[in-house]
Amino acid sequence: MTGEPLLRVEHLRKYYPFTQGVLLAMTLGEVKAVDDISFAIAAGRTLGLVGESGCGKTTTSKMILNLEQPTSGQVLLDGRPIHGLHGKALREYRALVQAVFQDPWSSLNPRMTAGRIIAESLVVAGWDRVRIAERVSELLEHVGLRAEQAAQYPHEFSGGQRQRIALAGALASRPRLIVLDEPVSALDVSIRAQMMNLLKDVQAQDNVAYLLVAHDLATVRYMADDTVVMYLGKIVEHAPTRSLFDNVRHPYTKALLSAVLPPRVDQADDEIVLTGEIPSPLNPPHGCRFHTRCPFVMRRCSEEEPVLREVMRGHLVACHLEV
Amino acid sequence: MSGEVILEIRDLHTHFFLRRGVLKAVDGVSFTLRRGEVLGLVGESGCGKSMTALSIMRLLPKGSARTVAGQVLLGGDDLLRKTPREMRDIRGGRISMILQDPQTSLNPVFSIGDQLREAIFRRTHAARRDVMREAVAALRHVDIAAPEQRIAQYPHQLSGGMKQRVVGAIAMSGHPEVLIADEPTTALDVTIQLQYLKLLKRLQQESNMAILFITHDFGVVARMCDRVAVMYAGRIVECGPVREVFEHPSHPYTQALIASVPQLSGTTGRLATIDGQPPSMLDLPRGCRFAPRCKYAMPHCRDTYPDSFDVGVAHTADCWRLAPA
Amino acid sequence: MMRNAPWVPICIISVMICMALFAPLLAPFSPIDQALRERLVPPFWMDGGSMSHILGTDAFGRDVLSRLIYGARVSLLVALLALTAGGGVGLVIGIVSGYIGGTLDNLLMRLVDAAFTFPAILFALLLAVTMGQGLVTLVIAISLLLWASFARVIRGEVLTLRQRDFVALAKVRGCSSLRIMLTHILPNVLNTFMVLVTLNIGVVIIAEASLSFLGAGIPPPTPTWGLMISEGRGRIADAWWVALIPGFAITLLVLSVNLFGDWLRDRLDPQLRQL
Repeated sequence: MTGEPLLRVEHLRKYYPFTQGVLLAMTLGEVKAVDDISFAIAAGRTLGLVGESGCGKTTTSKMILNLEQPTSGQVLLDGRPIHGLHGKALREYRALVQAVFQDPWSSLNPRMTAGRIIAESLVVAGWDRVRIAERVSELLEHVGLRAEQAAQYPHEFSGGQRQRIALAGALASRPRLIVLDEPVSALDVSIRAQMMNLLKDVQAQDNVAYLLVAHDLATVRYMADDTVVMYLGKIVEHAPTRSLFDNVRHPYTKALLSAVLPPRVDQADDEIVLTGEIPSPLNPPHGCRFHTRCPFVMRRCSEEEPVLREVMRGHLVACHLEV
Repeated sequence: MSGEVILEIRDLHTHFFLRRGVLKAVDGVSFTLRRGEVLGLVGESGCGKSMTALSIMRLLPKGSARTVAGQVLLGGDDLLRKTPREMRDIRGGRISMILQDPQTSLNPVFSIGDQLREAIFRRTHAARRDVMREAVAALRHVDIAAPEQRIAQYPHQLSGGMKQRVVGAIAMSGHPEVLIADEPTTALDVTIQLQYLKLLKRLQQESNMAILFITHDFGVVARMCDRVAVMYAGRIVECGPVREVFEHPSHPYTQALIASVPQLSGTTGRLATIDGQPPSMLDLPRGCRFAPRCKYAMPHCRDTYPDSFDVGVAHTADCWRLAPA
Repeated sequence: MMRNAPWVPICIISVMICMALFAPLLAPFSPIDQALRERLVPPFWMDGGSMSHILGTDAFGRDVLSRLIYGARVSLLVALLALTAGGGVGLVIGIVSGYIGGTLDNLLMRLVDAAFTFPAILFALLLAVTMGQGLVTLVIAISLLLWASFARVIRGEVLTLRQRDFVALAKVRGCSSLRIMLTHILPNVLNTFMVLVTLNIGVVIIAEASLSFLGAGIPPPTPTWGLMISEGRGRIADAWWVALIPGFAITLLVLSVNLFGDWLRDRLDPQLRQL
């Protein structure tokens, strides 16, 4: 990987004010949904963004999709900032960065045909009917459906098929990056494999990069080249996927790994079961945000926030244990 | 660990009577559950596992669904023959259930203390102070810290994991002999799920309660269950001890399902997939229901539904390939 | 589906629509020509009645049946216009308010609140006095009655719709807010809109009848059911048919429309049951 990566996120922050009162709203505090994260995605590669409730991965993906504005920091596509764009520049951005969301039942407009749903970005771009029809047929076959199905409505398709339609719609404008927000979580187990294989095939054929947002490490291991682990708005570990799995460093990542239950009876000896609840992002713990649940907590952890540091080639960890 | 049979399901059939036809949601399900045992009921959406649970509890959606045949024997008593009043006493008492979504299991306008106390009072009719004490103890028992404060809180003030633990406390307050857990951790974060499963296992071992654990996740089954029954299209296709079934999956569906789950080790090449879709429950095929998607399907498979064959100790699978030569 | 359809209401509604459309062909007499020698003739089944005036005549000798038939025309026309205007305005405001949100939403909803607290009938009377009686005034007055409830219900629907993933995805695909409102929001609220329309037909007909009764509707001699009731009011004791027959017609139509609306709502979307 040389030169400017396709997407770069720099010191991104998103704080939501927390107010009370109706007539004279008082700002009581801030929810620090995303609190200073940085990473990059190379063209044609997949970055996995893993974490549980409140970690900020959904907020991050919304900012990358230009659905939310950051409080500070920037997102750069090919070196150019993406926020604050209007009109033509924004439309160009939208053509290059697309999304597939988790819920196949909510992602498709029930009153539109599959073909019209897929064609959305092309209609907005002003393509003519004939070109659109051709491209829609092409896309349907690309995702493993039949061209004739363009005239059918969403309720006539199964969950897995709807996700394929959603993917086809995302691919229409030939994007360079697709944000995949838990693309298979809502699908049946036997259908997930089909979808994951399809996503990999499409990436290989179209050279499209993915930001894969997920909550479990097994999916990420299968699909991502690099992985970022988030906890309460911060990055705790960031490494090439293989390195992450071969050399897990951060206690939270280890806990996430323990939480991936394999269909095997033997238990791992170094299983970590966390105690306590995930703290609220409204009131994150002092120092290291994970310290309240960390099995290896030290005094320093509650006082000082650890910095993300490279501990091995390309492998960054934010933990006081790494000294 | 495992004792006498506490719950026996014999040839259970539950149908949905819809305008477009009869949907055979549960089509001949039989299994046994022993004291102190955790039996996993695993399958994908639409296979009938939740309907089986609801049929046992006799909580089927009114109007359209009905259990049309079979027996549900709890300690020898057929629950299907009980009157509604008798069932009300049995539910929460001898047999209890926890559901997937803690949001809808708890009433948002009552404090968790109120809901817990109601369950306890219904059973014991004890004095208010005793009921209160028991409620606080119940919360402590499910690892909720500072239960005296929590008891006055409302569901929306609790996290998902905590709500699910309160639901568990309510369900177990009657010291049931059998607990049916329908996907209790599906809506929880993975680290919270692991916590919760460990808690459930501990509680189960302490009380020697039998659990029917319904899930779509094989990993959870491996963790929690002693035995597992795999369901497909309304029937059980494989059943046996967990280790046996995972190490020697015998039914092609079980094999394909296990192979299609991404692992934490091994290659990251293409995942094995199962082509096609489950059959429509309104129009089930005559023979083996997995045959249209099975790579080993033979003509015989499509004609006649397979018998149950022994493939190991207490391990059976319904597949013609397993017939003795 | 059609098995359980409410056939009786559908027939009644169809008959009334036919009456409205083919009034000149159906009515045996002119609705406005007076025949003072035939004043207050009772309906045919009573003493003194005759088959030439099946439903009797009023104080001016006008045939009640003919006035009833022509009256259907006015009532249904007013209903159509008021529902289109009031419903249409409510639909647009509901969609814009619900989708755009923020200050605009606050403002519009305060307007809606104000509209609800307004004494609508008084306002209609005021309009009639200032703008003069007539079809236009009547339609405007009734539309003002309707738009707020449409706006509120549609807005509620839009608030839910806005959360659906396909709306966020439409933005990601490059759609402008206007396009989203037109192609994504509007088609998905049409069901609700249709149900609201059918449920409000009764409201409109009664509103028209009330206003005409009060003298703020279409001026005589054009027959409207409300006006007929008003004119027959003083003679309920001895010539009950003049007021009660149109009253019965209104009741029958509103009941039929409501039953039909209920059925339609249940068919289209069981979730709307709270309407």
